[in-house]
Amino acid sequence: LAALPHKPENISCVFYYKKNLTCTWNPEKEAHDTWYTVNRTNCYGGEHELCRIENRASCSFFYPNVTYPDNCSIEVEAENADGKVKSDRTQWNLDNIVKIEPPEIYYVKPVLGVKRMVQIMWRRPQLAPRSTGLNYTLRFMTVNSAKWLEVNFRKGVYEEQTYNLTELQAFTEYVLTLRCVAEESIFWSDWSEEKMGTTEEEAPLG
Amino acid sequence: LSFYTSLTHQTQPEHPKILMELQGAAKMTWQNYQEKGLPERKNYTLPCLISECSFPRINSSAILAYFQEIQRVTVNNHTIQEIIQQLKKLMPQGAPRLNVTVPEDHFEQKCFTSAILQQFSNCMDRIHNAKCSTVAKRNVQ
Repeated sequence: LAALPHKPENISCVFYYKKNLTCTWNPEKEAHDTWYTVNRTNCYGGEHELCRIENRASCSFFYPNVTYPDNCSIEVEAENADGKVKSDRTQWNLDNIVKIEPPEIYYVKPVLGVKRMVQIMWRRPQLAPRSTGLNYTLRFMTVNSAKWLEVNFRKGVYEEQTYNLTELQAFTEYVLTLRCVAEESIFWSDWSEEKMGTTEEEAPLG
Repeated sequence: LSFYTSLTHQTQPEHPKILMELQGAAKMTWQNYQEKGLPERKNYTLPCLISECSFPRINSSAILAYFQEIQRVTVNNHTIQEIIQQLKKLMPQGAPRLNVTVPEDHFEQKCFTSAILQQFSNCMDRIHNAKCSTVAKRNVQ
């Protein structure tokens, strides 16, 4: 009894800037040996590239064949001994699926004379599109707490990579972590390594 | 990013992003090019910009021809390949292909490559700096 492979569906792609474009699809597993051919077409120049894989529902196109910015179309063809089945053609703007590295926090320290506040400085991820502003989420809590608090903010391409976290408790140690996302993307970076910092001491009232 | 758009006289919204990526790749390629200390050759010049009307435009088809020749004489250089990919994105439809000849002599090839990489990096930096001053002027007005 002929058993064609299932039509590849739920195609999902992630673009790791200056690394690769990785696409996955369903079903992850087939009953019989199945070969997949993923056809990628660049919006610019209309160049094609094929990625072939066997018995795995994932394939990657590597830098420098994939460069930002671009708008790629992706089509997956599944083949087994009984025949071939093609997926629908899907369109992927790299702006919307770029995933970048986590930022690296340089320091968390109080600003002399400013109570209940710490300043955070970090390094903008080097592997991030040069023309893209980044949205950030800063997570923080006191060291003996178990509940994270969060603030969100945006940084333009040329803005200084610092943030002043205010309204904290005086003379208290905090742990902080930071993540970011390219402003048109749906994929956040992983969280940065955690960093500690303590607010300034405050003279007792009265 | 409108400044960059005028540089390419294209209405493609992506062109400013491409130019910024090109600037990064140009700088990295020149910085990583190991053949430092080569004698400077005045006769190798890269026609980086086309001076048209009031505004210079990046000469993507000429630069592409130079970099495709440089790719031929360099070993698997990813950033040179990215520059070629990015330049192809800027290419006007049906643009004529320029003929570029690289010196046959191996040492001269290095001098040629070094000269072109440096000039391209400087050219992209000038574009970037001109853009920053244009933005700064606009913020002052």
